Amino acid sequence: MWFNSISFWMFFIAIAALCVPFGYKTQNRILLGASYFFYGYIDWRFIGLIFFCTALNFLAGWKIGHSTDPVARKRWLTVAVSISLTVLGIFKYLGFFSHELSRLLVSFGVLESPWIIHVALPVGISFFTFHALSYTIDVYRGETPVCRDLGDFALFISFFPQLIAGPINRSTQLLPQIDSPRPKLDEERFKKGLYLVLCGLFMKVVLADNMAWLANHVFRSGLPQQAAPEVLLGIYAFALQIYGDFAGYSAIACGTAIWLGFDLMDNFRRPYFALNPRDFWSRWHISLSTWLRDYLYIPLGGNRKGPRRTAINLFLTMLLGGLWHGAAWTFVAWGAVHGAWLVIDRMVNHGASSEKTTTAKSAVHWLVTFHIVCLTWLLFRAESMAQVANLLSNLVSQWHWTAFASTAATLITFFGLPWLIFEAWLESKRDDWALLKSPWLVRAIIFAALVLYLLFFPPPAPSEFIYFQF
Amino acid sequence: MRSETKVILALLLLLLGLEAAARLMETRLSKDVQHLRSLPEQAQKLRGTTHDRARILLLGNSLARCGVHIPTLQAGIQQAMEAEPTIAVMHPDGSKIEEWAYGYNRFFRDTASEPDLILLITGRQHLTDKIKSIDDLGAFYVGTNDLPAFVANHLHKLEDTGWFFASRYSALMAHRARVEPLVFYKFVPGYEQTAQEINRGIQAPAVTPAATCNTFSQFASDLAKRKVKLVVVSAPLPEPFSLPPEVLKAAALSKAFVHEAGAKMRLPPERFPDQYHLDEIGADIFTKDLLPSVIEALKTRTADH
Repeated sequence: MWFNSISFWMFFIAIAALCVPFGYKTQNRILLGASYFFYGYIDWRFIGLIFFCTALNFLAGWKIGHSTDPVARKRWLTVAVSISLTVLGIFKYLGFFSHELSRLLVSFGVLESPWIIHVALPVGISFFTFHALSYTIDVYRGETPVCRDLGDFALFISFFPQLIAGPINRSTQLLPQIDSPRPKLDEERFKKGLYLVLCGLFMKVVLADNMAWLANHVFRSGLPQQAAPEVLLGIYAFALQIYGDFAGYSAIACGTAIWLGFDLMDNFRRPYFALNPRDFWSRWHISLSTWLRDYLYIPLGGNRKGPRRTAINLFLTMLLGGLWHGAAWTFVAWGAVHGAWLVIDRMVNHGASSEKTTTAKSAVHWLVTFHIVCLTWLLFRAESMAQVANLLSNLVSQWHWTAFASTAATLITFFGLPWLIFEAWLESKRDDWALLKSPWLVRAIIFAALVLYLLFFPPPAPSEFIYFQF
Repeated sequence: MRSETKVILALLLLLLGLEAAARLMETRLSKDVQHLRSLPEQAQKLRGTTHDRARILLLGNSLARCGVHIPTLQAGIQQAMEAEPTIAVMHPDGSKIEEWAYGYNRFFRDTASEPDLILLITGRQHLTDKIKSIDDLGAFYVGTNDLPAFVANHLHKLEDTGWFFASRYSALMAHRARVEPLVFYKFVPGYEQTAQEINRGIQAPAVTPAATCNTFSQFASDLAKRKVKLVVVSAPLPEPFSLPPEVLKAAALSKAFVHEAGAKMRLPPERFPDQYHLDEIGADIFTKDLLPSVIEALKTRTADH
């Protein structure tokens, strides 16, 4: 039941209609039931795991909130964080790390062959674990009140629009909304929801899935040597795919939540218009980058312990952020490169004034930032480090034009350019909702274009949402 | 009027306009749609033929359209049977057994226009079970009589059911998939080559699941019950191939004739200008090769009667 399926929309309409006649308390129960049904429909085997994570953090939050003993409070925080991360570690990283360890032992002659442990990965485990942890930590810090209703807390963890792939909402933002009457679905909220849902569907179905067709071909292993333009265009295609896929999901999540009476956290703000790595991370997967900042970077010391320690903290945060995405060296390398880039940027530009930046300088910064981001996507998407090396070597040595390159360049322009132009317009307005403030005819024309693309340019093969595997 | 109501009305108007345009101009969209809409005329051709003349239906896809040389077939049968045959055709692009079976039932069986013989031209995988486009089946092929059985047998997912009925009742939905190829093949440089290259990579799974051919089996057995002769012919391709054993077994059970030109005929590469379809000379050679099987089947039918 993906967001781009008929079954999801029938489910959503039924649930939204069911909520209408009731007050917010009953709505919460309906939404909780719907959320567990939604997760069970995707993979019923791990419903118990979500409940366990919910119950553990609810209990820890309760104990922390009702205790005045700092030792007991810390103990409960440690228990909740350790168990949550252990569960995440077992499901997500056990197979990878045991395999890597056994390979090392094989190389020393201790083992004859490496272990292969297959552990089924619960959909969205990284999201709901981080969700739950943010609550427990916030209660410990006194930033959020203790939730007194297990049902409301379970809804906070499992609210179906954001359950599988975020945004990772904070307890400070979502729990008060759960525990208060919903705003009426007036024209303003309907309008916002429609805008987000239409844009999200376009980004996923048209942009991401059509780009996936090109990117998957370039990143398919076992292909004969590829020309440099093919590799470069494959990377551009993947850059658009992952953006369309994830930002599209987030937009639909926020849009449907608005229709149900909730305001979720913004997750993307035109990331490919960033001018430096800090700017990029303030626009890309905002809910994760702020989570990592608040619960990892700052507790590590942030920038309070001198430049050397700041650099280490930044690097470590990004390294773990990379590992959060998946158990593979390519993700670790992706996080490491971003970490190193942030450190270098901080060293080079520390104290530099942004007021002096000219348009030409901004253009250069944008071009460099965009291409470094794209190159890091190569690490993110590649199936192995060997493939990264192979593609990089082709990128610098095989410069000849091919039929695939012509097609890829045209299709990237056809699907990606109109969207980037639209985003450039939003960027110039510095307003996420600029389209909703424009005359209705402009909106109708843009929505019509999105609908026409959705109708007539479906992808050759629909793809799953990439972030579901995280 | 509120501004968002105007936006939604504008979108609805756009969709209605597109629906009307699709209904009015569908036959101008592609030759394939023209062919699909001409199937009642093809059926009429068979219905209007007297029983002393052989009624033949050429069934298949572009392999049949390009591979069978109709004048050669007609002349060959006329010479052997001493009467000019009537040949109707149903060969929509990209179709396979599901489209052939349901389309045949809708346009020929249900209109009492059945032929004496069906000449079924197939490639390697066209007779094994796998629905290629639920939209097309809903829009063009599944008739009212087959609808309950189709729903029971194939529409197990809400997703499929939605697309099936949307295409059945909306010309816009039925034809929407035709726009992209029209645009891309014409305006995107290298698209045809790239699409073939990418699809070759996608269509090569490491493990091929065991093939079934339930639709073909049911189709052949229904034809046998209604005494319509079936000749299954594998078309020659640049790489020789054999029909799957399940298909041969089902054909034998229904006493269908099988002519494996795909395995036996070796034609030079120049006979396949696009590396898949035969040119006219190749079609003539192939048609002459399959004629004896057709004539034998026709003679068996005459003897049965």
